[in-house]
Amino acid sequence: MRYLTNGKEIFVPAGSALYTDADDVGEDAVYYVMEGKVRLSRNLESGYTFTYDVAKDGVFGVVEAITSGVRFVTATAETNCQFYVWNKQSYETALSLYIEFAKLNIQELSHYLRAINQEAEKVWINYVR
Amino acid sequence: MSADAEEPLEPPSEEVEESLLQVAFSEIRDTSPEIFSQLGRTYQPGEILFRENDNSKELFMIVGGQVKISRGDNQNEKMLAVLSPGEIMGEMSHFDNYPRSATATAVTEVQVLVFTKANFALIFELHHKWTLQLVYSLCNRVYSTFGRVLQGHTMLAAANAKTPAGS
Repeated sequence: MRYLTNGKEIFVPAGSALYTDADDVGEDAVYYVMEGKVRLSRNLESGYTFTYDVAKDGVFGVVEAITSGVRFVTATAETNCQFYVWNKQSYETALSLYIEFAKLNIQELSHYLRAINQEAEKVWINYVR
Repeated sequence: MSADAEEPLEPPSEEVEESLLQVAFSEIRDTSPEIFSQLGRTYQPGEILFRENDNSKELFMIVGGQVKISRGDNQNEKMLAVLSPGEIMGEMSHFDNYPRSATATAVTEVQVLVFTKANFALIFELHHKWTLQLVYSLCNRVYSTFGRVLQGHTMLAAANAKTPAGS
């Protein structure tokens, strides 16, 4: 895949955290899953845990890199994983240059937003009960 | 990730293609009357641009006015966002082919540019500003919606703390 450029490949064993909620977004800003599965999670004040899984060919870490610069979920390798990782600038360059990469990102973000919208709806329903 | 296979795209007419080229290379908010006559639509306050669970795939860019994004029906409506000029909406169904996740309603009189899949594919290929605009827009919406989830759970935790056990 030609968009895997200007970044680096990393290997992460199952069970390792890539980053934790409240970490600053560093040089390893955006991850593309070459192999394996990652779980994004956040323990919420009510005791509920939000989870979202990212599989092969998925991208994660984008939202914090583009918005606050601070992680709001923890990312943990569910299996042994291989990632391609960019810093923010290289990621934006890849987005600008490769239309297929842009589409993949927009699809992943749309999917993530649908999942979070459902969580928002669930918590509202629970609260009004 | 997408709900179904991409359908073959009908190429736009010459007039529409000319307008699309102008859109692709102009600033996102700049819309001439010629472009608006080809791609624009006006909605009155209260009119629906698209409904939750619709299968429409058009993508909208707001040129003027404000649009409310909400889920649920009239009795149980939950407002997700109010969008303003320059913002893009409808991109989720446009790209992942799932039904609309929310309803878009004109709050004021609203002018939008409306892109079919074929139209938008053309300008998306032509200029990267659209790519970045869409990614930034989605990131901001994920971030703000997640903020509401956090807030909701904080309220839920407070409500649970006030409720005596077993009641």
